[in-house]
Amino acid sequence: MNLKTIVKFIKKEPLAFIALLIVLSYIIIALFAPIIATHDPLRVKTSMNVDGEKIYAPYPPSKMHLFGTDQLGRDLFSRIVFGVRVSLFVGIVARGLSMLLGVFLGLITGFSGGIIDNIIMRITDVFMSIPAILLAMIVTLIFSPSLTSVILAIVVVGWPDVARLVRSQVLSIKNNEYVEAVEALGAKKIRIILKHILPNCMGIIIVSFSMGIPGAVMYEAGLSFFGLGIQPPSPSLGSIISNGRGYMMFAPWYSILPGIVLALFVLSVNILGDTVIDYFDPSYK
Amino acid sequence: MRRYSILILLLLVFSLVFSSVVVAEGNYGGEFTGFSSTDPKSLDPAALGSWDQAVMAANVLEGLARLSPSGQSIEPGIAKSWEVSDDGLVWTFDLREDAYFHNDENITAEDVKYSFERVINPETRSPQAWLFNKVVGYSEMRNGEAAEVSGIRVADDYTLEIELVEPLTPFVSMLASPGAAVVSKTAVEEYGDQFGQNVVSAGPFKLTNWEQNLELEMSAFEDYWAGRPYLDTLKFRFIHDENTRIIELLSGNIDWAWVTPAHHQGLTNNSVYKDSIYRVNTLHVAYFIVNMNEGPFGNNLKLRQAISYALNRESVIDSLQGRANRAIGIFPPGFMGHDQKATAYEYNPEKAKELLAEAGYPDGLPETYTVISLPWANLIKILEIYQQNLRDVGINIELKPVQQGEYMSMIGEGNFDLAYGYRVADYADPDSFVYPLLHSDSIDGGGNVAFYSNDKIDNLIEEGRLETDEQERKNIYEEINNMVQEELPYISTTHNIWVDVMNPDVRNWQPSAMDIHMFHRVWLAE
Amino acid sequence: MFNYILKRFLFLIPILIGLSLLIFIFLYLIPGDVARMIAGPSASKEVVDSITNEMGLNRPLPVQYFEFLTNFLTGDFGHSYQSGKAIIDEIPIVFKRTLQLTIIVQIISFIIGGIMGIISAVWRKSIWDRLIMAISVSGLSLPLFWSALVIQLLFSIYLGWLPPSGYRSGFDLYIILPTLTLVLPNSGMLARVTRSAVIDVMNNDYIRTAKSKGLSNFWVITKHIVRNALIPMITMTGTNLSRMMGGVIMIEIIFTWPGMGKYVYDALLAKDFPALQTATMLIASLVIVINLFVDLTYGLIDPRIRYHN
Repeated sequence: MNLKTIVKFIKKEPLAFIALLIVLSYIIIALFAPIIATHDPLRVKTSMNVDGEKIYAPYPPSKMHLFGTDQLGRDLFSRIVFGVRVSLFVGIVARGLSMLLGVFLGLITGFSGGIIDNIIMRITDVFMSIPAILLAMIVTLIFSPSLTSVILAIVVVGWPDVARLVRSQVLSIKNNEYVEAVEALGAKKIRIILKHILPNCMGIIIVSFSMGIPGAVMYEAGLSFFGLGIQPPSPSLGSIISNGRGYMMFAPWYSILPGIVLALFVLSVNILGDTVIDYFDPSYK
Repeated sequence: MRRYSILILLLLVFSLVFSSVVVAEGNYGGEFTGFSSTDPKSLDPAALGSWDQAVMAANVLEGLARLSPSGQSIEPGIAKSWEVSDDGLVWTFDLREDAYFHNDENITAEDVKYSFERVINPETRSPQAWLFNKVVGYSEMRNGEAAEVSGIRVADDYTLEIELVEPLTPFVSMLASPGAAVVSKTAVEEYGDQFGQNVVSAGPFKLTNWEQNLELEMSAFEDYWAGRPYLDTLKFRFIHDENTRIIELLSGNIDWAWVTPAHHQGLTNNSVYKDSIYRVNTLHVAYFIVNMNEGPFGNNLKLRQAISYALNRESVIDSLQGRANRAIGIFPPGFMGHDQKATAYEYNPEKAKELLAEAGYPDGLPETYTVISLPWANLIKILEIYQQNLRDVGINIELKPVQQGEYMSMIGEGNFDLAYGYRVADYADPDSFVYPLLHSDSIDGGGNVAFYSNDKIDNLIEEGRLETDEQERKNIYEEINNMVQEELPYISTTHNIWVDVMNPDVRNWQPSAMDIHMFHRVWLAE
Repeated sequence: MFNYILKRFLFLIPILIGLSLLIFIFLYLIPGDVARMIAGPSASKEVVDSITNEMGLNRPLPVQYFEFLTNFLTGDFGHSYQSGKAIIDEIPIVFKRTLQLTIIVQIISFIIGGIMGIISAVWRKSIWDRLIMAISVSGLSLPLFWSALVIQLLFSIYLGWLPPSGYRSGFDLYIILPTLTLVLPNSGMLARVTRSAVIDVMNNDYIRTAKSKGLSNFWVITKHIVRNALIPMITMTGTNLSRMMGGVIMIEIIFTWPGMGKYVYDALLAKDFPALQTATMLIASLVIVINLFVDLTYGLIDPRIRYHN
């Protein structure tokens, strides 16, 4: 991986390179949010005196407020920056936990086969049949909408896909001669799974993890949009978009900007993912 | 000859004056489309539980008395007059003989007795039964001991007597609420369970069509005792989203919308609509409800005072572009008992911190407390401002918006430390605030959601109900108001100002201070 | 083969039972005192308690579950807490409206996605291909609730061409915006699938042989391509149908389209458990059945899948 290969990559897939840069920027924004934000995202200022006249929030984009403010006078740019932090945090953590649960179950069910496989597969059928957003809403309502309940909801919705994916990978590896040989030699089951099967799944696990992050981010945004996600005053891209609905006519930037920020992230990850998959494993699609 | 010309001249003048009077009266006809945020499911007076229902119901229902359009006073309804005995216990209602139900049945005192007893009857499970809880025989029927209420007596076809357990000055105001409307016994028996969607009462409009979850339609009741209303048809479309209503108004699909904070500036500057924006000071108060049974808020006065000083009510009013009044106590301007001189709790974070220290928390409250509220977006925005205010002085609160059903449940069970709530007057009398909110009798299910109990206030409230002299009553309610401001079981914040916008062709619109908007005097210019 | 089909059908039973159990448990866990909600805020504790007893809300869970299951299977869906009406009367009405929306969306997405995919594949690597694929991936990257707002803003508020929300039965302007919003991601996915299916077919030896033999007739090739690409397109549509239920729910809420999705959401917020249970069971069961048919069709067409199981 030297400079020449990188340049070749850029020349061959300029779009993917841009996408990569964008994703990296988002990560930086998420990590350094307090430094990048221009204002305190929670500071309220409902009216201002400008030249003796009283004007009410929301204030349009200006030198002082890059993206304008919401109806409480809170700086939108700062809120969006922190919103990105929340989105990425939830996306990565929730997807990570989904992976843990899904991989665990996928390994067991793929390897065991028989009744256990049947039962777990039917359970995934059941979970996958309930529309995801509905299931997520139900879970957050059970645990009272908050950051933790959102993460939990995304895990509940996300694990079945992962389990199935890992299972099918395990099935194809299981019949591999090497594995059969090791089994015949009397190796313990857990050892087989951990030392021989799991490593061969890592590729697909990593891809599934990364490609699942935009989905998790969208669920968080969707839940927050409908008021069942992150609670105020913490900013979330979804809740900012929702708050801006009433102002579409007079302050359209309020809802549109956070949406673009969200969409851009999802789009970039998707493009990046598409390119990577095209290169390494077209059969994944 | 001259006498004839004078006569002709007089006739001409007379007819000119007469015709202008007729023209000024208003045009009959036309269709008006209003809104409601949800499908009310039922307009049965016995089943009314929410504001939405009351708005539509008031146009279809009619009782002994009715509210004036402004909501500030009551007018005769089915009863053309009433009087009370000297001891204040027996009210006699003299009914009109020309009042009819929507199914053309004549309304008699028997019908009124039937309607009231239906609400009181525990089998109906009506949330409006409390309207009658001072009537003789009420408890007996509620307990199942009696099949009728002895205090409601039919003296003759058009005379009804109601005897009370004790004098109650606001009694007739209470009878003007939609819950005390009169319904047709034949219709109730005919429709049974479906009566709520086929309500037959005596209001200016009668129910004609109901498309579930879409809209409700009413048409003018020709035989309404005060003469049919101007409008031919009155529709209510169920549009939950307030922004959608404005867009529909601007597109000409509906004729009425509540003005949202987002659209306020735009509409007031809009050349087409700026003259058809109406405002009224609603008989409303919003407050933080303190669960007086729970610490630390319930038993620490200084803490409550600290909270009150920390709240920046002006900032909230700004966020509403001036569409609210600062609350000083619980009575809004226009209500007897409103007293500008009570303790005001001006925004003063420094004082708040001092009081907090005096209350035993020099470094702020160690724990985070939850404030439950209804989930309306605009309300949450207001609470975010207060949340920030409180955080600035060291009190951390978490907002927990919950849906109506759960909110009622938690409030009813006392399952909260702090809650944000509001009250709109149920009847045009200050008693409608204090009796439910503050009297210890109202604690289990009566509306005293703060679980507040104070003998002195109980006595004052009872005096207010008995007292007939206006000035005396004013003093009593002011005293109650000021005590509430001192004790702070309810930390009041603001009084709403209702602002709506109408289709510019609409005439004679008066929004109600009690949120019970009535359309019987509204007409449309061509 | 027959065994496989039979097995899948037999498995439906435990799946549906498992589904009912899951739904029942989850809904039971949602906080909210049902009796108190029905009684209203002004009711005293005695009234609330009496309602609790009447409705059997304090019976042991397994008993309540069993009653729910037996009632559901016999079609006794109970009455909605919100409207008091029999749920079995309400559901067909709202279901019809969702069906109307879903069918139109799938048909339009199929046509548009298909055309886009074919163009993309035939002129592979060209600017058109890149453009179409970019549009497709954008279509499915946009948050549905956000694109709904933007579309509302553009076509309703700014241009004033269409009503922002609401519903009229039959074909009316009201259906346009919700359809447009849902068509974006659906056609995006379909375009991608069609493109790769067509490319696969085009690389197929048969075609190359046919071409080299001079049977370059445009129609012959096209017919063959389309016939083979149709299968993954149809299965994708099936998958879309079941996956898009979540999207439909969001769209119905935002555009106030009073269909099944909005019905379920309203019931969820109002803690209207009978309505919520019934509606969720029905939607999920439908998804399971659709998935079953998609799998079977796929299995029928593609022998590799059939035996791999």
